[in-house]
Amino acid sequence: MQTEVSSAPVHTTVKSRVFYGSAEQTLTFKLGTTVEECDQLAVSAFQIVTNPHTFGLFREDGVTELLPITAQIARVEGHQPPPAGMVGIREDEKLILRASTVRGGD
Amino acid sequence: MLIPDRTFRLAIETMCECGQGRNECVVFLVESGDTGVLDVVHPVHRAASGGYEVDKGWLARFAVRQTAEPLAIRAQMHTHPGEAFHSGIDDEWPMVGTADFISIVVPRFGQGIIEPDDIYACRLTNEGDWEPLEPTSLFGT
Repeated sequence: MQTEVSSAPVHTTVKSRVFYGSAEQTLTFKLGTTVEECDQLAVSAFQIVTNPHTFGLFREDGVTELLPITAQIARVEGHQPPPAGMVGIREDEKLILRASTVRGGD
Repeated sequence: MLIPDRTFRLAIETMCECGQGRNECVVFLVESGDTGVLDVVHPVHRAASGGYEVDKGWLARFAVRQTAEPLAIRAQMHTHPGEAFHSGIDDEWPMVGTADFISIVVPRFGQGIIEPDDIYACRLTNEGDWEPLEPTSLFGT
């Protein structure tokens, strides 16, 4: 008996175009890592030197943050939803690294 | 980075008018990658006499704009009610987290005559510390 073998590629990473200000880098995230680890990779790539916890990855609208930070990331296609409890990222998806809060005072 | 005197004055006028002697205010000095011109950008923010917070919607819109236009935020300036200094909150929640970012604090809500010597200025170092700067070293024509 012959066994049907899927020809669909098995992905272990997802590539994203990440912007910090007007600077852009292509970052590769390992599937199964947490959003927090993706945030840390981006913070490191853009050489952010202070309070990394105040910066986060947001989707192209600049509003929607990748949350929760403890969730694992999954690679999704098109408008396909991610598996339950995971955060989906599309291949070549544009993401924005920015400060989530900016405040000051005496 | 040298801040032109007219840019410094415009930033102070903007913060003074916004704060009305009662509330703190914040502006960003934004350099256009196309022209090299340093503009004063006044974000939507909420403020009180003891602090400010930039509107999250404005943060999102400006971040999206930066992905399409070469705009670099070189410095942030904000006012304090009294003395100019960098507080713990100022240290922890800046707009930009990369080395060489400049933060400037203006005393007395920016009211009255403010000279470069009256302000407090610091620079984010590679180690993530805020290094005090001689204010007058930031200004040029």
